[in-house]
Amino acid sequence: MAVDVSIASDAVVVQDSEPVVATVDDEVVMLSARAGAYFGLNGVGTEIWNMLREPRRLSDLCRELSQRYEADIDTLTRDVTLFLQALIERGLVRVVPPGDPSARS
Amino acid sequence: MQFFYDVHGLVLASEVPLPELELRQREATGEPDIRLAMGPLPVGPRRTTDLPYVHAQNGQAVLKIPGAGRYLISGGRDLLIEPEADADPSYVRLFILGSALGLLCQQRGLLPLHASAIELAGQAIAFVGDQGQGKSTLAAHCLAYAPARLLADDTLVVSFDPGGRPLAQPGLPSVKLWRDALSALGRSTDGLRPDWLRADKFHLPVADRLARAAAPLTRVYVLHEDADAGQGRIESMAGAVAAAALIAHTYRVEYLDATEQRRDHFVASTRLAGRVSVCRLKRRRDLTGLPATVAAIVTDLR
Repeated sequence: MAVDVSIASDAVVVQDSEPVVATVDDEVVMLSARAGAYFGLNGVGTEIWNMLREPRRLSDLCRELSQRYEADIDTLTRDVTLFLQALIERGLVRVVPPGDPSARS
Repeated sequence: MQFFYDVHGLVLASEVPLPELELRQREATGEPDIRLAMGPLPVGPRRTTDLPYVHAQNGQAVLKIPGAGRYLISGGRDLLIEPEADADPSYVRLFILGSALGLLCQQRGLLPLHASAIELAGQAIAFVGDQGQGKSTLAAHCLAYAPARLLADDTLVVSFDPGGRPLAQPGLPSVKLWRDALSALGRSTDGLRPDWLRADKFHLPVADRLARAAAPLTRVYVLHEDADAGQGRIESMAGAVAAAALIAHTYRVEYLDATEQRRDHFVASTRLAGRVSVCRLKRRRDLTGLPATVAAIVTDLR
């Protein structure tokens, strides 16, 4: 079953609370009982994950990262979107529905 | 009559003698950590798990081993064994000291690794790796070629002291070796006890080279066969890769759901990954080169 996980740039995303999260040598490692799997993030992945402790608009997240890394915003937005889609598919990150009070960030 | 033993840092009181372990020199005061009894199993947990031979529910698990019997493991404390009528007692004990004790340690929230371990200069060094990578053989060669003592073979139980420091607990007092590994050490198989599951594997008793107290675990080597690596190329592992290696090389990792320890085990193994140095030890598979591998390890530890 294909799940549509495309995310709009004005979508607000946040860490899902289901996985158990640990940090080993500055890298995030997760156990998701729901997914029945372990996950590990690399350095940049860990940085993005940590930025999603609070709900954040995708466009704001990408703007901040492109400033930090002096990277082209379009390329970076495409890469970060793909990464977040992978996390959403696995239930590690969720999109906050527009009506949700926490979406007003 | 009760027989008292020390194993994995726990005091075990048994109704039956367990000759694979060393008797405790004096009786334990207070309650033993583990009580082992023989007898018919009560109606136990019925919920089947993903594993056809494990039933588990509410802190209890039953292992069913054809040819040996049924093993009820409760609350990280009680072992009740109902052997099959014609089962060989040493075959029954094989699963007491292996799978059942491993499952009990998981129930207690300890971290059992599928590892062999030695103590060298006050530090514990563990060897993990897939079946056949030579964990036991390398540990035995460390005893032969370095001033090392044996901590554990096959199952290494790790606990944490109050300061969060990982401790390697002493396990069973012998090393299981293949016949060719024994001859590389200059030992014959005469008088050694054969290992039940693998007819050509033998228990080498090492009573004179046993570490009898826990030691801080500082290094875990993940053994990896590599024809181009010579006798020992050591590469550091970190982060998620190190944590994944410790999770994958957990003893009886397949029991974690049956023991409802998946989550606590994840916390313990990631904590361990942050506290020890995990390294890949690549080496060419070659028994005659093992002294050089031991030398590479000793150098690496300096």
